[in-house]
Amino acid sequence: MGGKFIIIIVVALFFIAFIQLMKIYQLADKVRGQKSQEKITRNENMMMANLMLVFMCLFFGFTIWLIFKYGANSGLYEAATVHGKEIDDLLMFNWYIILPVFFITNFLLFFFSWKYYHREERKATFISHNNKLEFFWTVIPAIALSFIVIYGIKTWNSIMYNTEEGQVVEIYAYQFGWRVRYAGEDNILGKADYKLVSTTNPLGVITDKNIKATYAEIDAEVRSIDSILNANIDPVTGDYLLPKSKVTKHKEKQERLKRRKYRIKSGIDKGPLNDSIYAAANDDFEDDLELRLIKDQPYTFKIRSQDVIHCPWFPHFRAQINAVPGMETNFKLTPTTTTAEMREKPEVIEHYNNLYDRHQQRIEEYNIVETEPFTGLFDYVLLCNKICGAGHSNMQMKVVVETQEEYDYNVTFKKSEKKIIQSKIADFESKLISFEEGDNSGTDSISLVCRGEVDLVKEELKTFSEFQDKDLNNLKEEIKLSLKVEHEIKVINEESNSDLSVKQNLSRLVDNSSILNKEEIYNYISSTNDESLKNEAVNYFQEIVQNSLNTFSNNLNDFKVKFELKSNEIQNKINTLVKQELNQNEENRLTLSAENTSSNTTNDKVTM
Amino acid sequence: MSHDTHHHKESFISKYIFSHDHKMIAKQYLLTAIFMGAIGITLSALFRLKLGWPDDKFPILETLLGSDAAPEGLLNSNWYLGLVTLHGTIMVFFVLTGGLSGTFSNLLIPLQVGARDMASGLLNMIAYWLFFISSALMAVSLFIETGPAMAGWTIYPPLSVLEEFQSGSGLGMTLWLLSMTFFIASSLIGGINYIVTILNLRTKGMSMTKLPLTIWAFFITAILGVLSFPVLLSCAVLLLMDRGLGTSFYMSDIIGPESGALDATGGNPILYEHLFWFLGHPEVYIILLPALGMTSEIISTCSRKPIFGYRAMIGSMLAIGFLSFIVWGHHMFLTGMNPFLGGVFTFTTLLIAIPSAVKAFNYITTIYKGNVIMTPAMLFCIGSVSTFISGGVTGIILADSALDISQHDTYFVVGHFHIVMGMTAILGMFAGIYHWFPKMYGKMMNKRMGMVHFWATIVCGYGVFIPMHFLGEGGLPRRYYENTNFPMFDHFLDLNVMISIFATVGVIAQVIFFMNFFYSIFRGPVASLNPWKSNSLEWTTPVEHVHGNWPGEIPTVHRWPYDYSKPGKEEDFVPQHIPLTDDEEEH
Ligand code: HEM
Ligand SMILES: [Cu+2]
Ligand SMILES: [Cu+2]
Repeated sequence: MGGKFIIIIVVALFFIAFIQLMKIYQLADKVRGQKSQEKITRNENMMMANLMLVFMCLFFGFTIWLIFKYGANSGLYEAATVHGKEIDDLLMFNWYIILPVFFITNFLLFFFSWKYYHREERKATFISHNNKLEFFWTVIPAIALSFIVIYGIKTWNSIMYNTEEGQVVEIYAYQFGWRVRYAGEDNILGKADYKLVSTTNPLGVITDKNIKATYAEIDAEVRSIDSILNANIDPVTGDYLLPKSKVTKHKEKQERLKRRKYRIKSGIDKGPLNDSIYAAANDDFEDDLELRLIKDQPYTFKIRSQDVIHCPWFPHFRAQINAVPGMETNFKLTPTTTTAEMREKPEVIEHYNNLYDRHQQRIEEYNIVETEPFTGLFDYVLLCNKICGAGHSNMQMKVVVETQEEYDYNVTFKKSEKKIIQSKIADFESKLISFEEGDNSGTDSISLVCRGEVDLVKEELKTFSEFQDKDLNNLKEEIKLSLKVEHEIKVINEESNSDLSVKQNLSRLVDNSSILNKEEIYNYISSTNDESLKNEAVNYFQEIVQNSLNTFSNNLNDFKVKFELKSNEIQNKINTLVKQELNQNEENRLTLSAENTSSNTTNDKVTM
Repeated sequence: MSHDTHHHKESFISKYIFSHDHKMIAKQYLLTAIFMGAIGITLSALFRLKLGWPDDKFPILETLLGSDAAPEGLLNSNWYLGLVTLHGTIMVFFVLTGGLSGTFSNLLIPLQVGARDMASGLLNMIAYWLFFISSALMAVSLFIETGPAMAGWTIYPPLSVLEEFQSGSGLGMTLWLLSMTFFIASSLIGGINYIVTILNLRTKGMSMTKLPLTIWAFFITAILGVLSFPVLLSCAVLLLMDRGLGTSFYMSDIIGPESGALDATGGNPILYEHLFWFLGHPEVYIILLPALGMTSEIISTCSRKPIFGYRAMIGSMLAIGFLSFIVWGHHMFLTGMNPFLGGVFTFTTLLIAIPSAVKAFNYITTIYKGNVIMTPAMLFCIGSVSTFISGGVTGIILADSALDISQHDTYFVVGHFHIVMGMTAILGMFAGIYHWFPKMYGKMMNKRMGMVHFWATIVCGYGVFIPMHFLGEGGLPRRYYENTNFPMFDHFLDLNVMISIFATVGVIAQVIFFMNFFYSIFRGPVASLNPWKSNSLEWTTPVEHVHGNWPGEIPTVHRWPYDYSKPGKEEDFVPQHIPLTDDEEEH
């Protein structure tokens, strides 16, 4: 309130002062002669003309300074893809034509304005047109432009009409993040449909299992809406207790869910043929943390969107194309430089060191707590380049380019681990579903047992992943801390200071740390200015981090072993149960089919 | 027409509010545009605060926008996009389409072709009031709780369809669409009126080839508007139906964060983009051409020299007008459109560079060997030509579909279009205001303040937009609420501070203009009949406005409007109504 008041007063005072000034100015004007606002004096003309030249110099200087300081592709370096290099060449070709035109025409404009400024004694030359000249400057740009057009369209066609398929990878955009799906061994992506998207199947991949799971999910949701509605009925009047708009919303949603199920059933679900029709999905694998690519391997990105238009943009690859809901777009590229190679380039190292310093400066100035501290190392990124809502400016995914060997280790290995666990769970579940779906009287108890077991495994997996998360977080904390200590020590060394500030710095640092043994850090480092001891301190931290890493991977291994045992155990149990069940079913079926065949034959006769 | 010189008594309302007089309507447009412009540039200064100092709190934001938008002075990301969207919309449609064409077409068409008023004064008034309603609706949308439209000035669906995607796609978007519907109606009515007036109401002797270039520019602009705005209307209507009636023209296979998988199938957002840009590209020439037309007129007048290549200027405007209808695809190279079309649109777009280059060269040649009087209007014209060149050359890069892959939707685009469209048109509009202020208000604006205003504006304008090209070359996407999520852009932190400082100073510098403008309306020295010694007909009308423009007969036209410094004449100008002498050649 007070702020507003002050602003108003300041503005008001400003206006009053202005009006007074203008009055004085006009009085002076009257003395000088009536029409002084219409005539520009000789002095004024000259001054403006000179300012034209001054401005031109500043303007050109500013532009040239920016060109030298930033230049083209500032911070992006040579394109890291095959086609990207073509684009960069084309860009430079264009700049070499454009910049001279820019400088020359602007120069002529400002220069003529200066040279021909108004003086009473001069008279302008009457030139109304000059056909030759005009022809000349229509044709010259036309020729220059035809080079630009031909070169440009040639490059465009070579990028867009690239027929090499390469490895297929799907990039899936949603508010606000990315998922990727690799096509696996067969290099064919399994079909997907938005109607099957759910938390367990974020890409809507079509498989028999996913279809069944979606049915179950839809049914459950329909039921839950029913129960919400039923729970809110006034027992006396029979009306809903909820606001009308809410009821309609619920009902609409329910209808939509039912329609969705119907549409899946009639369009996608091919019943017993599902497994063979949608087999391509079996070896696909997904990731939502990073995109890993192989150096010199051609790729086809197939791009989809879940909700609004997004645009995957790889600045270092010079690649982007919109992700449009309801439509698949694609982009082909071949990475040529691994992340590691980029990190070794001297200019990249230098630039990233500067970036790191500027980054830390900001972090410290504003006490920013980063969830993911910047390491100061180069990384490829994927970002979103089409306005898509509140999180548009933070839709990022790390992109890693590596050699075939590194890729095999990092992707294939990890993928198989994750897959084993996932597929086991899925197995249990699908068996359960088939139990529940089939009209198997007396199987409830079995299904209950199995449910219990599956829940157990799920529980186990959940604790494991929580555990893993916690481990990971600790690890991150520690790494962050050790980076901080390192930085701190660097500062101390640079300052070569009195003991006092060393102690202050350290105690501040120690206060901030909650994980490590404060005494120890303090003793290690503050006791001396000795280089070797400081190094020791650093080593100590690295050791701590290393230890955590070890514990982490030990835990992981432990869990894997435990999980393996557990899942075998469950598997066996289920197997026996299933066998019993199947035997019984077989008997039932035999008796049933005997009855059916007799009735069928009679039916046939009638219709014929 | 029937407005003879009769002077019936007018009430305040019929004179100042529901006036049918084109001069009054022009002033109404101008005031509305200045008001909207003040909002528009203030918004840009506000969101530039966030981009320049991403971590600082600015209590003024909370004071101005409320605590929903900027709790504790920290702008939230939805509102950031809302401000950008309204800034873009207001600048493009309200200031530089409605404001620019509305003001100067209305003021100058009857005066320069020699007509007593527009073909239909009533429609003209209706057009203004539709524009007014539309402006009011747009401005009001800044004050609602869920915020204004936030999907960018292009409001691409599906983002603009469902509120669950973005809070601004609720009531804010409804208001946006409603406002634009009024706006389109206003533009169409206005445009038809302009065309009819130019074709039918020219005074005796005023053949099409004796028209000032301003009129040619307004004429072509009006035709572009009449042909392209209906497409925007249908585009918006389909969007409204997708929003309200459950159709799916633009929607297919979409999952809403709240409603889950939607029913919509078979639509396509790309359809929207085609319809939108079918207006959208001609729109940038709707913005540019009037500014270029006025610039031609003022440069010629103030250089005391005929405009160089009068026919070439008309020809290039016609070429630009025609080509502007077949280049819209350059906004869509990367939508997944057929690559063959990409090649075609690259070709047609680069063709436009030719007439544009011709125009630029003709301006420069007009100044060459002239006798340039540095009135504020002339200064703004020189600035406008400079920005037309500087922004035009980078357009060549963006027109190239292959290069668009690495430049599309980055700050390079923002730098480019602000210079070529934003600055050229705004500078042209200022030039028009300074030049025709005596005609509008019968008073003179202060020239010194005009000069200061010009230098501040051009320095800050270039200071803001030239650096943006380098941000874009560094890969920085536009419409980013903050650039700090990616440490790779941290080397631009300081450059962004510089841009924001230039922007803030540039916006504050406009106060010089506002004060000069409003002060001069009331207290400025009275203008003389023809203060700039200009040839065109408007300067033969009395300083005090009269109904029907000329108290007596409308003058007959005998020559083109650019007989400046004609050899053998004593004065350095010969107005259009002066008959040719026996031995005089036309030009
Ligand atoms: C003080 C002067 C101005 C400043 C500082 C300024 C700054 C900006 C900035 C920073 C953006 C956001 C870019 C993005 O993130 O995409 C923007 C958007 C825009 N500006 Fe300006 N601008 C100014 C004047 C103008 C003028 C004169 C026009 C007239 C054409 C204009 C039209 C636009 C448009 C159309 C957009 C795009 C909005 C969108 O992305 O939806 N601006 N402006
Ligand atoms: Cu996005
Ligand atoms: Cu365009």
